[in-house]
Amino acid sequence: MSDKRREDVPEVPEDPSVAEGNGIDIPVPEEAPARGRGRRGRKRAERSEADSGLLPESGAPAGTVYTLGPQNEFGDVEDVSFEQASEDAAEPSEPKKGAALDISDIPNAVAAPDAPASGKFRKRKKRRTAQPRNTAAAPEETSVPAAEDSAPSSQDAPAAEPASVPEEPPADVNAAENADKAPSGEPETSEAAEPAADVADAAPKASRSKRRGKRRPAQADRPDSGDTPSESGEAAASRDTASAPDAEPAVPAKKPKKKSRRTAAQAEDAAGDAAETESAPSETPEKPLRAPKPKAPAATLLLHGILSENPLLFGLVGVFPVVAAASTGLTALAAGICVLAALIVTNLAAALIGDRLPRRLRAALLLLLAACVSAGEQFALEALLPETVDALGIFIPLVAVCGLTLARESFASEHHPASALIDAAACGVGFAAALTLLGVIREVIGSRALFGLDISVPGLPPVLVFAAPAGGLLLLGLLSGAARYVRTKRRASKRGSKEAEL
Amino acid sequence: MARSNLIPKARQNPLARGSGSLRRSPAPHLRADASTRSIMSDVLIALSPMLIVSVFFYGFRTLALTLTSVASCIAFEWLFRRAVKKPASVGDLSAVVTGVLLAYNLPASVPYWIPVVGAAFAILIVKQLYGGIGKNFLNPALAGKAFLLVCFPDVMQTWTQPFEHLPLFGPFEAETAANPLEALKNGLIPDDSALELLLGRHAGALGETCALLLLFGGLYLILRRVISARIPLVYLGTVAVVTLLFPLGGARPLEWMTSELLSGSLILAAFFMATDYTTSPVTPLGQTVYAVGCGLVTVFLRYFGGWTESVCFAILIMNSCAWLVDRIRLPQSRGGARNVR
Repeated sequence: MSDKRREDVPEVPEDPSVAEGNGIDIPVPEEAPARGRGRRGRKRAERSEADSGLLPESGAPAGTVYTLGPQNEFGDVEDVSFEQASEDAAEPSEPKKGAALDISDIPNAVAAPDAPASGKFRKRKKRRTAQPRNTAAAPEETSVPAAEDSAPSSQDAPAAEPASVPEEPPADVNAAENADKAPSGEPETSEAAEPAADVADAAPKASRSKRRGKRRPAQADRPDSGDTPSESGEAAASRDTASAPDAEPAVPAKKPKKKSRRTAAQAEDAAGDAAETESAPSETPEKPLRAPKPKAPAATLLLHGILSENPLLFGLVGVFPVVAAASTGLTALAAGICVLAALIVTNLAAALIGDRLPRRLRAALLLLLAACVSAGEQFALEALLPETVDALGIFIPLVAVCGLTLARESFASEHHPASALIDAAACGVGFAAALTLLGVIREVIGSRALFGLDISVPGLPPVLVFAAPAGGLLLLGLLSGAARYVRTKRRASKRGSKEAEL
Repeated sequence: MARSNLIPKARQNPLARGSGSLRRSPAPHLRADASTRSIMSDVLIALSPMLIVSVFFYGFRTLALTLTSVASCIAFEWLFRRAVKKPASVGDLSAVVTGVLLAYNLPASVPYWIPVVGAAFAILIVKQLYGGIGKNFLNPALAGKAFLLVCFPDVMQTWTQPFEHLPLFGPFEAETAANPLEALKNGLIPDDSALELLLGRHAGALGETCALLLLFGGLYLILRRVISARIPLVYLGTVAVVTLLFPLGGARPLEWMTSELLSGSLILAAFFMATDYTTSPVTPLGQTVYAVGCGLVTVFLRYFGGWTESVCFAILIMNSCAWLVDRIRLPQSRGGARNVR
């Protein structure tokens, strides 16, 4: 993907007026969208980004469409999820199909009477991003973006169902004529509608129309763009990501990451997802511009690591200490702390190394680091808790190859070291807490003791299987199932209460 | 194959039950009136003589243990289905069969809470957490027995002498007896003669001793087409061949083979538990491989394993391989869209 990006970038014409040759007259502001214009634009973007710190939107020159208040005011993560949300919400575009738009986030949007709740909207967004994006992007090249204030109704209507669009009730009176024109997909209409799109100040459309403004000149000089819509749509989309590598994670760049990195359970959560996708484009190792590493909100990280995305209970990562080591509370605690220490070191290292090393080398280096840490832990345990060393045995060195290290590496290497540190601490603490809980339960049931204290009841023999590895796996399965059940219930009730509010 | 006849009546096409002489219905056209309930009733009928013999051997405590086991299986099944708001499945009698088989695998001297714990594990964790009947991948009764054996090994491996009737309630002192498997484990021919082993006059679990009645029960199931003879015969045949070829400790091969075949829960498991529809393979080849695997693992564990009784572990291991064994030669579908030009 990265190679493709580099190749694609020079193809993007520097002069937007090329578009006139195709009969698509696109009034582009003088200060053209900076990041769509190859090297110079990118340098400019770099400069302005350096000024503005982490907020990518402020990198664009003033006067363009995309300097938008509400997005800048959000935190980084919220910002991205919001942008993608607005895209995804705009895609279905038809109220009867259950299109959802987060009205509350859009300053100028006219609320449709039956706008669903925002919580629901986030859920839906996940499902929608799963379908191939280029089907939606394809007709968009030939047809035309919609008018202002009618973002939900006419954005991608031609993509979805061209025939049915004119019948739908437009959200605004202003939008009515544009919405009717838009689906026709003819250049004449686009002339009329494009300015409207460019000066649109409805927030959700900003990212979209920006993209379109950049893409359109690029499309204009490609003769085959109209003929092979799906291909060109894809190409345009990838070019889009290339042109704005650090500002906004476009959806095509985000999708493969999501599949590979996140488990299905994790992918459900919108906020955490956004935190990861935020850094999607910064993966390219040979990119000359090194983006500032995004930060993720600490509270979210802590909540995820310890509770809602607990690596042991939900991720089932690093099960090996459960099997053997966590047969008593003390050994489980010791094993958990070992994993926590190793994870903090490797996560911090991964964040500091970042993309300076290719991924494979990075993983190897991190494993070596973890091995060093676990060697130190061996000595520390021998000095502090000598009674656990025998019980843990080979499992102290095995901390070096704990799956948790590599599971969090992908997050850490793309985030700010501070965020990586918080993430490591949260995940490690969550892991250690779950492991200790497991160990305590196993000790109580399996050997009738609590941290070594004898609590045996006469006439109630210990259930020996829980002292054995099989019991550990059995109990882990039961605990994980219970935790998932509680989480699903909580999310369902949260969604229900949000819906009830609106 | 019995299985193809087992389409329940409720699933028949209602249009096919017309009053005219001509009926149109999709295949299969030959139907049996078998249902889960009728199959389980057959299994219970086949198992019931053994219960009478066990009362004859050990007193009414065996009956009480069996009833406890059955009642707790039914209770757990009903409670779980009710708790998760699923349709009740007690009526198909599968929980009753599980309870009876679990009790048959217990020594007569176990306290009454043992079958309750075993039933809880078998029904709740092994059967219902995976979705209930037809969805479990381990035989519930065997898994319950294995769980009890691993958790409470001393209680589960204390055997009493037959014809010494145990009291129904209260503590009792009973003379312990040696299970013939313990002698076999040490490479010795057990003291019990082959006839005693066949008739069940030896120490063992309450429902596994009388090999003759179990064989009759298995024959009944085969004649009723509830089970096919393939799995039990191949299983027992594999054990017979391997023990005949490799007797331990220089024993006479034929005597060794007979003792191995008739002691322990081998016959009970081969006819009533290895043939569980849910946990055994479907294809004929798969069933053969599965049964051979059961036999090999059984003998291997009896020779080299840590437990005296290894049949339950062997069948559980092969249960968890059943999906793999079924892939050895999947039936080829003929026709279909790919062949249409």
